Amino acid sequence: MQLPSFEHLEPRSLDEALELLAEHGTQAKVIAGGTELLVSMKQRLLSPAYLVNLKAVPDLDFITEDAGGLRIGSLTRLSALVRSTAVKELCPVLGQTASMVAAPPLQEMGTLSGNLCLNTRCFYYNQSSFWRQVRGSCYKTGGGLCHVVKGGNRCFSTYQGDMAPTLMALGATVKVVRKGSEREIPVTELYTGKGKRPLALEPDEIVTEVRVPAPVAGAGADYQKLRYRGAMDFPLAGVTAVLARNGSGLCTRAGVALTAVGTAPLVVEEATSLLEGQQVTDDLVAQVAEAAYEAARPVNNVGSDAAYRRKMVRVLTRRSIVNAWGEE
Amino acid sequence: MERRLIRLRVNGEEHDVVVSPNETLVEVLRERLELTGTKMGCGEGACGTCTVLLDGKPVRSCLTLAVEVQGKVIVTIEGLAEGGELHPVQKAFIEHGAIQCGFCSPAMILTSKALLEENPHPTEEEVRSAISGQVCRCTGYAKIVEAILAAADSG
Amino acid sequence: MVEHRLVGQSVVRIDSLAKATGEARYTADLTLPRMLHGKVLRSPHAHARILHIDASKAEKLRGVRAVVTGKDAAGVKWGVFSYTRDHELLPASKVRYIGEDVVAVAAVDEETALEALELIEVEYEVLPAVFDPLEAMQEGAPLIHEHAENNVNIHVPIEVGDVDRAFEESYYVREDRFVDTEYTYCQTEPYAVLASYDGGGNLEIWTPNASPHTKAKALSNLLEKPLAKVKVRRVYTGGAFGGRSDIFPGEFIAALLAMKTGRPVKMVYTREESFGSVRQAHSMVVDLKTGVTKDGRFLANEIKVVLDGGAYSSTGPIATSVPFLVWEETYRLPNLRFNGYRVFTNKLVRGMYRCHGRSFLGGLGMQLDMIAEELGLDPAEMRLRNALKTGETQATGSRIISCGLSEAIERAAEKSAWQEKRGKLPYGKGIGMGANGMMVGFPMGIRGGSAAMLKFNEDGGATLISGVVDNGQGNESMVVQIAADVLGMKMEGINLVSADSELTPLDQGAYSQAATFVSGNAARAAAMDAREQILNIASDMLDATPRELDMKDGQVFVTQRPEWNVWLGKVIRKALLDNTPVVGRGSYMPKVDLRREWVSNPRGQHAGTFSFGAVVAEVEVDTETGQVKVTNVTGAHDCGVAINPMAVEGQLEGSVASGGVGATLLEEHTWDGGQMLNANMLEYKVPLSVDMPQIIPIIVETVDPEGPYGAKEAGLWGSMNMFQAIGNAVYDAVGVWIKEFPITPDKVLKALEEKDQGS
Repeated sequence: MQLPSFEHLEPRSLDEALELLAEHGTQAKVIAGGTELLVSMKQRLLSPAYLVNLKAVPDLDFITEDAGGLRIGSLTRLSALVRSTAVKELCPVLGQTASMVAAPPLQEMGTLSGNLCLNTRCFYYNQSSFWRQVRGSCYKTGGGLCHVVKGGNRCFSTYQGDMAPTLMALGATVKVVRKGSEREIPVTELYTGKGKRPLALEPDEIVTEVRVPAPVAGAGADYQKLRYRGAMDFPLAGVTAVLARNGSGLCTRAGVALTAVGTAPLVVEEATSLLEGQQVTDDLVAQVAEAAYEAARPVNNVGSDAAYRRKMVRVLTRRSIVNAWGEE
Repeated sequence: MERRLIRLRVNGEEHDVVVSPNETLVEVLRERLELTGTKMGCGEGACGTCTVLLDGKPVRSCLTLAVEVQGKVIVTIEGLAEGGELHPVQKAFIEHGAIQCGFCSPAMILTSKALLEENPHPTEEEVRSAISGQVCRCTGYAKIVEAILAAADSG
Repeated sequence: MVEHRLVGQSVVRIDSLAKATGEARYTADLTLPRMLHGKVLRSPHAHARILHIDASKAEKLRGVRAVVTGKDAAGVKWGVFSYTRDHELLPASKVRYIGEDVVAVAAVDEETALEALELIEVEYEVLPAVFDPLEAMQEGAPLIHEHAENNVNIHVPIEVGDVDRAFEESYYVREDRFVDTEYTYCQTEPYAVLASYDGGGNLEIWTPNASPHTKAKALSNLLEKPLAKVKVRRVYTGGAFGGRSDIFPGEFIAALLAMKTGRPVKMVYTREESFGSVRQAHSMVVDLKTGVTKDGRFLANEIKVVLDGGAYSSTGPIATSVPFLVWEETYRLPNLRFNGYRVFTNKLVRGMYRCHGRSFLGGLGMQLDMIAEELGLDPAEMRLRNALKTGETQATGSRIISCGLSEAIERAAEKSAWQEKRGKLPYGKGIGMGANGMMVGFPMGIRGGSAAMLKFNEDGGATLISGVVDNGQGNESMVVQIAADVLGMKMEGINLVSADSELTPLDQGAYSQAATFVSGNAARAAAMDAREQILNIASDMLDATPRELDMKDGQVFVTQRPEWNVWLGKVIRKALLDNTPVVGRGSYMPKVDLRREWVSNPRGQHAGTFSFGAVVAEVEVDTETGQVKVTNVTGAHDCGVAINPMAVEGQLEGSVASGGVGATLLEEHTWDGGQMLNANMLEYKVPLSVDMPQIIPIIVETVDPEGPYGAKEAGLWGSMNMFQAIGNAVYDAVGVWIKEFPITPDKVLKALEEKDQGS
């Protein structure tokens, strides 16, 4: 499969990159790892006139530690997260999550922001142009119907990034920049929840940095991923739990976030209110798992069975909480 | 679309090639440099047969633009044997029966080489993880894992 | 007889070096001068009449050299059998599945060819389509082929004994239905073809294939060219697994384009095309009714199977019969009724597969365990009680000349600690057994044999010429190992010319598990013939009778006095001067009943011999997620004799991946109507290194009286045996029978929930 034609632009600085994005707007796409973008282009899901390649832009690939926590450049490879000693010491769940993305060679190519900014996926969308032509356009490709949810009035494509739930459960933020401005938003706000346009980014905006707050004392975290094979697969459901406890064994902070069970990754708000200030008992964990189950809205568009995937949210939530909480 | 002259460093040799921006590394290797040892199994990054080493790391050459790897050290299967002497991983694959149809072998061998350079004495679990992105349809991976562990012991 | 110097040793295969260095060239790697690139416009409809094709704009596009449609194909139809000729490889009037070939273009590069496809306008009349084989059999279902009433493509009825009476006499009878979904070969090498045509009318074809002679014969028929002008060349092939045997549209289309342009044409399919426009494996609905005696002996078996055959026949009669035959090759079945229906649907054509019939064979082997439980028998013991033995005759008349089935069951059980584990592992862990026989060769008429030649060069080296085909199994190496053993030579001393329809004699190909047994026998005979010639000539030179001589390391010597010897090259030179150049010739035709026919006469000796084996699988089931992890597999295989034990082990290990973790647990195509939802390697889930268990191969040697050195086959018994072993292990672990393959986590969990509700 060949790529469509495009101009390849190689800015040498961030400013230059932002300038190019401002100039070309929707005509341009940013390329970093390329593992998702180039597949989409081969399938003619995207045919940008310009690719703005960030590989030569300095200072986007770093992992530093400061009083606020970890600062991670958006172009940091997933493999760097797996190997980083700073990550291992401060926030091992980041490395654990990154190590579960695809397989090692793709972790070598894929970047942190690339994984965060994954497009939503669907069996009726991630296909060649010939394949899609067989049944006509859906909401995601500019048409007016959904092939999955018959009679559905919007796009239900599924967000399947691995890093998002972990960063959301950690309370991370991202720095989003465009020419002349920058903003810092919680990772949660990166997602619109709209299958058709899942990212809350303007065409000329890019994520430059991820900030992970310093861990609270007594914190633990765990990512649980449902997939049929031991590697390569996108999550069919994923849950990260981040919990901290105090000296008297009470939960002082709790974050639980889900992926691959809806159009966007989501924080299970109820988990926080249920857990914080409490003893983490089996009953309470079951309540949180139930809340996560209720929040999950998978549909049959990325493999396996939606009802099954939803049930698994309960199991994964419980397991991630138990692992994050650790032994008494 | 502007075609341009780029210089690629492949297997220790410099190659000047005129490419379009939309040419992937696997296309340039196979079609321009006639290095057909690098295979193309899916073109979507899912099978791993197009793996080459880029600055020592295994990457999917079907998802790598040729224009963006100038100045990098590229190694394909053709560049592995030095001075007619097979690389220990190649030898181990041959001796342990780790090759059946052979279509995944170049990528599998390169991935193994990269693993052993980073981790000269991996556990079986580490070996299985390192090659978990490489599809082999013939061997059930048993003799591949055996060969990699043997190459590690001999190295 | 010569001593075995090489046979039985784990030798390095002759093809490994080229494959390890990247030197081995596969079809997509080939380039010829003036070569064009072909691309195919495919049907977006599952069933439609082609009303009109306008390719005029495409023809005018700069760089386009030829366009071909069904009109260029002259309406000829292909079928493996004279009664299955239903496939127009480039249809003129009707398409029957999404992805079917409609128009093809040859252009100076692939980009131009693709651009040309976009300029072609095809007008279709869309017809009602049918995708489910049971629906397709109903009255009023859309008819896919005019001649096939109720869309039934093939019906194989077999009846042995008095089945109805045997059921009445049975102590226990049970009925079960097993089903599965479609799955596929997913060879790592995508489909590709290169065709070249010259002014002399010579057509050359390179394509990954399991049988150059079969492909050549088909093209010869379709293009009305003498066989001598159709030359299917040897090329490295990246896996076949049954999916590269008969002719495909690609070869025919590439040939048409090459003939039209007079230039070589290469077509390399995308992975999506390889999944969707070549071949895939059948899904089946299997109804089993089995009656047994009180002590667990089979008394009556009734099997009805409906295979979803897709749009055309392909190897239909074979596919309909094979799982049934595997069953009768395994056990003593005195009363037997089989009705196999292969049904047309508007989906891609289905062919034979290494893991063919997972619901059929898995179902039979799981039902056996269900019955054993009912009777309070150890399922291993029940297998042993019914297992066929050397000298017995199978239900439809094949005599077994060597059989290590019982030994395989016993050894697999012993090595896996079956007695200590079965029924005794903690909840969530389980162990299961499977056992089967495997025909070594199908009845293939004139195509069922093999011939080989061995010519000696004046330096004492030799060239072996054999039709043997290697798709990765090691067949090339196998014939060289045999010839070298016979001649006391090193394998490096014998060069192989193989798998070329022009240069090598007829051979069945890497098909029907017959390469070692048939091609190996032919190679051995050719080597024996050459050896006899050499010893005759050397006997004059060494003043001894030929019987007193032996050959080793390029020397011919007197066995009792090795210092009396002569260099092999010298013998060869003398032969040349004497006008008796050494050319060995050998052939082998398996002793099968040539009157046997798949549909019209399914009786008589089916194959020359049969291999046997047993596997024991151990699993861990995550009872909360339903995920099944295969942790250990022990496989004991009666392969007759292992020519190259390392290669035989490799076959079992590959079988555990494709038949076990793959076909049993992971692999399936999902559909929406006639459209495949996962025609890509991310969503079609073949097993990865991290999914595989520890594997212990055990080789059981029975020394087959017909096989070369006593060898049989190694490739298929294991892959077709894994389904039942894992299905049974899941039951042992968590007490649920999953009767629908693949055994995916959602199904296991659902069954567990139902069990909980029931109890």
